[in-house]
Amino acid sequence: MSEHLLEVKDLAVSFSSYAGKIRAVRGVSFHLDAGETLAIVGESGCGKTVTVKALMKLYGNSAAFIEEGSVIDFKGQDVVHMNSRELSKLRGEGIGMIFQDPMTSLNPTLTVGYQIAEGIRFHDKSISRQAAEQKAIELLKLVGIPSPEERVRQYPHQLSGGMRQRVMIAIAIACDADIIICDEPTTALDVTIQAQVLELLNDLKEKTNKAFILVTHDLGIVFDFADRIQVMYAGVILERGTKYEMFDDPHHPYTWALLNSVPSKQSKNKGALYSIQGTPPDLMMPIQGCPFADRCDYCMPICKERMPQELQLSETHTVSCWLEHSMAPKIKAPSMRGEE
Amino acid sequence: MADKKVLFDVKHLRQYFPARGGKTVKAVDDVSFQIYEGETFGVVGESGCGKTTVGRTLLGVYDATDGQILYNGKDVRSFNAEDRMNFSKNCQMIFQDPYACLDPRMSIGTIVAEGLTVHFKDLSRQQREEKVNQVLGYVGLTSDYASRFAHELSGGQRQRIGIARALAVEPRFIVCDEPIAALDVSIQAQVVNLLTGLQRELGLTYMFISHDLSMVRHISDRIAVMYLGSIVELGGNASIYGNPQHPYTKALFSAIPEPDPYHSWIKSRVHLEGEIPSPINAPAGCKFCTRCPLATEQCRKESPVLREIEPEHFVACHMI
Repeated sequence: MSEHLLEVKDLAVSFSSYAGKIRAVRGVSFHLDAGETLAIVGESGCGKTVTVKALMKLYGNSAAFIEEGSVIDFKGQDVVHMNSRELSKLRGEGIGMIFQDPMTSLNPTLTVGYQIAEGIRFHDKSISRQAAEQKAIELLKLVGIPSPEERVRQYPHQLSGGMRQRVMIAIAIACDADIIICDEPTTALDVTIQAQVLELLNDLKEKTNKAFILVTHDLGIVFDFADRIQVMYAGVILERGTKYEMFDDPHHPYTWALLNSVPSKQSKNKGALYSIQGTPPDLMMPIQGCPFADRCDYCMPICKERMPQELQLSETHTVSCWLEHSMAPKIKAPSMRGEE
Repeated sequence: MADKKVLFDVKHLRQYFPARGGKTVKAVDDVSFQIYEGETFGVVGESGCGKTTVGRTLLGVYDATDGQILYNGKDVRSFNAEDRMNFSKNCQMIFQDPYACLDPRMSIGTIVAEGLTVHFKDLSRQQREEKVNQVLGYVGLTSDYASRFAHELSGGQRQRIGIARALAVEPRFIVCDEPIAALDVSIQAQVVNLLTGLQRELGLTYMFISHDLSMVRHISDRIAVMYLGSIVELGGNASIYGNPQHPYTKALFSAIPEPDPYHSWIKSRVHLEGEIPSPINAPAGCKFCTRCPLATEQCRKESPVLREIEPEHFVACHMI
């Protein structure tokens, strides 16, 4: 039994494919407490979505499997070895999820009210249909949908993208889950709608004691919403820390690159943006050394041979990089956010 | 800006599409602007505001419903066959989706050379190959790529092929329609750096269409902000971002996520209730009046026109 709400140790997830095994997540450990928000940041293919889906073993019939030795401990329960009945209880009641694409995640043939009530009725068999619908209306009101009594009988195609994402949020919180996973919750939305949805999530965060996991590639929304941030790359965590540590004192060259490749208010017009050369490694191949080595500006011979140990910089801040070694040259982080 | 040469002069452009039930989608509704030679003209707005339609109509992908497009002072409708060939050689497009815009059955070399076979008929096969290798070099790829196929390339590499294809015919003007929307952050920076570098070297003019406001701010000289088929504000980069006047522009820019843990942009943003109305039933008067905090009776009746409020800075709002 761990003291945390959720504790993940050495999580490894692979996909079997015709060409061999793809090691999407290669040993990830983290924890989450009630009331806090953890952000997992990384590019596409870095394993962030695979990681959070593993928390509920949400793979359906796909070829993914969790490797031996992975530990997922949710309130003292061993998620990795749960049977399907235990998993059904966990999904929705323990952990809820908001998916990336509100356009395709809702069933077009069912009313939104039915889809919200579906989970409520599944987890509480004694509730009547009317009571469940009433609860769906309350949830729609909670997520800020105007005239919920009418909306509850409408179908997804009658709602706009922002409204559909609100419905997704209502479904995720319907069964009062302890953890809400938000997988790229605003990627498909326009900026003004994105701000509305993030504000709603922020409200929920303040009003409830739920823990949130935010999966995103957008650093702009991370600092406003998360308490702690972990940066993933090619299936491993390269750096983690509180949002202040990650913003004020990032240590890993990949974090520097991520922070610098987004133009900020201060950056010079048409000045060169900091860009990372090359592309992420092929996860089908075994990766020796640091996965970022091939694209890193500060790569040393050792980087290609051995994966650096995770170094504890503070209680909350860790980094895996050979530059932290006492024999490595001292590198000053490139100026952040275009300030000179 | 008076010394600058006007490349495109667009006057009262309208682009309507028929919709079901005899209705009309007013995708672009009375838009006027100019594009100067050598600049990057940014067009921003939320989805459905008509920014892509403007770009496509400009290049003649759609036949404009009404209005005038002058290219180098000449109306595109009065073009003869030769003018038209020249126009299509000089004005190219980079598409949004690097996965969908390349033919999976053609080699990269064939894709890039396709324009050459039309616009540079005199080139020998060898010259054509040299030209293909040269433009692949511009976009940072080696000549080996010419024999590969699109599925062998990553998203960033495909977008480079899209750029190489546009560059092959030596254009002067390129419409970049959301060229980075489908790419990862680290790759976005690569592509944007490439575009700005090419502009410096080859003196290109860009129309840069994007919903990514911070990238548009980074790359553009002048910017048009669109809402529901109309330009609500138009001006230089500094005046648009530094001194936005239209209530929509203000709200839009305040919604740009800023990576800063000490200052919450969500809380300090200008609140905008509701969502964009459908372009089939656009509101009468000012199109923004249903969401505007300043809207009055006048806004619901009369549609505002672009007025110059300071040199080279235009706003369409009754309240300014």
